[in-house]
Amino acid sequence: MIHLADVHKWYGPLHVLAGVSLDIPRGAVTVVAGPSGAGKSTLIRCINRLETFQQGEIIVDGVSVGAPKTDVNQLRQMIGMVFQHFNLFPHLTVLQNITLAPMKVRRVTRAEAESTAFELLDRVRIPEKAQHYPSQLSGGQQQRVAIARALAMRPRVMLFDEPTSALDPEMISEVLDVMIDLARDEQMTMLCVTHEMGFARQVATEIAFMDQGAIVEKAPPEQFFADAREERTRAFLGKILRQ
Amino acid sequence: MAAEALSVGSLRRRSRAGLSNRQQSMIGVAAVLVFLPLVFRMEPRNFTPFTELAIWRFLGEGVVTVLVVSIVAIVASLPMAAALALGRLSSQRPIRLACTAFVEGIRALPLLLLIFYVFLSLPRDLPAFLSRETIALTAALMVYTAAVNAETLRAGILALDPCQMEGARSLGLGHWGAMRYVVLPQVFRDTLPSLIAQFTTLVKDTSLGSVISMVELVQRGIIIFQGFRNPMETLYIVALLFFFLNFAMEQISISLRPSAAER
Repeated sequence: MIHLADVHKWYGPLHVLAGVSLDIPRGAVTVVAGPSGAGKSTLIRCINRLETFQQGEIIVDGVSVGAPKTDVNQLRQMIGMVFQHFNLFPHLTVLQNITLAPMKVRRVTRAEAESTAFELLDRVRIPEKAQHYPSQLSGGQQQRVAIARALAMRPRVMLFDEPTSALDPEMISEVLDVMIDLARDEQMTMLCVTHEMGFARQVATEIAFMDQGAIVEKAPPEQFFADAREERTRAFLGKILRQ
Repeated sequence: MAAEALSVGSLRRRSRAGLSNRQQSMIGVAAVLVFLPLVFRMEPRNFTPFTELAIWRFLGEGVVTVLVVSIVAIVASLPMAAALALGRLSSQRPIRLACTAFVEGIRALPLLLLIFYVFLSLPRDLPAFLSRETIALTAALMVYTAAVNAETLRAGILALDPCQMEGARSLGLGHWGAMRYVVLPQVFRDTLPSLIAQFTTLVKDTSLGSVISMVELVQRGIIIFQGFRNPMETLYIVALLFFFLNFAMEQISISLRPSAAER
């Protein structure tokens, strides 16, 4: 479903992605972990072309992301993205946040967009907040709205860029629960940049460890946690699992 | 974010003395209105012309002129300001250069010259329902206000968190869709006080219409005091009328202001 082959990206002299290759089959959940500055966010942002890359190939459901003739707006419709800081629109209510793109991009009627929105709000467990503004919600609630907003475009792929790292500790699990539900949907392909190793252990098909712009190692969770091959991976796990 | 909105909201609503900003500005304005007649030693008998309905009808026509010119110029200037702001931020070099040159050029010109130029470049035989002077003044004020407000909007666009644009684009909205539905509504909201300040200036600048022989509100005041020889008192009344026009506009803008929750 998502295919990356030898992706390189430079910011001037800085080689932020140094030949990343990764395959994520349909319905799989891949978790990307690694120290800060490893290029995880850049990688995930390249997949929906919020960032460009200079070399290599990214293909999502048969569409080449880097090709000049690819319609970015069409591409992004099948890729949902959830950001670290939610990026909700503060001037719109929760309901309007969710219905905006379906109505303006996919041209569905208001009634249809709203009924989908209410279904999604049920799914992320905050149906009662539809008429609230983002600033009236907690961080955890905002992030769940952001997930619903991304799902409203009926994407085939969901990208999560550190979705819980801006949240207070007590709100992390409500977001992870929603993500776990989503991961169990067999049609949904997910790529999550996260340090929530409990989540990774529970739902990941594969965990990739990134450092210095490259994927150092990837393995299914049991193997990744029990018996990582690379010293760098073990050192990283040692640091984050100690907490 | 929520906490921030609350503290800003409470700062705006109450000062330490317990008076709202609005009450404070009302007190200030009332003080000025009382002081003006005292400082300039206006004489009550010089106000007698204003007991006549004809005088008020004469001034009223000036108020209507100011209102029509201001409303048309304000409403038309907004989309133009937005277009110029977006043009200056365009990735297309020719568009960016053209908009930059236009904005800088118009802002550098004295408004008075702009009014003359527009007036002189209009054809002489225009449809009769609007005078050539009215059209020239309205157009000049519109273009000038658009150029000034374009800069305010551009600053607002640049100041808005880029996350908003990214969030919108990640949903598949195009650049223009994201601008129209996500970025610009927030920018208008954020820059509203500055935009309103410029609109207030526009209302007052309608008095420049007198240079192209328009008989607007201030000109009507001048005509009245030349007859009655009471410049202080007449201009005081004209000032009051301008105050009420701008006060009404401010009230309308306050009602347009978003609630604290939307921030």
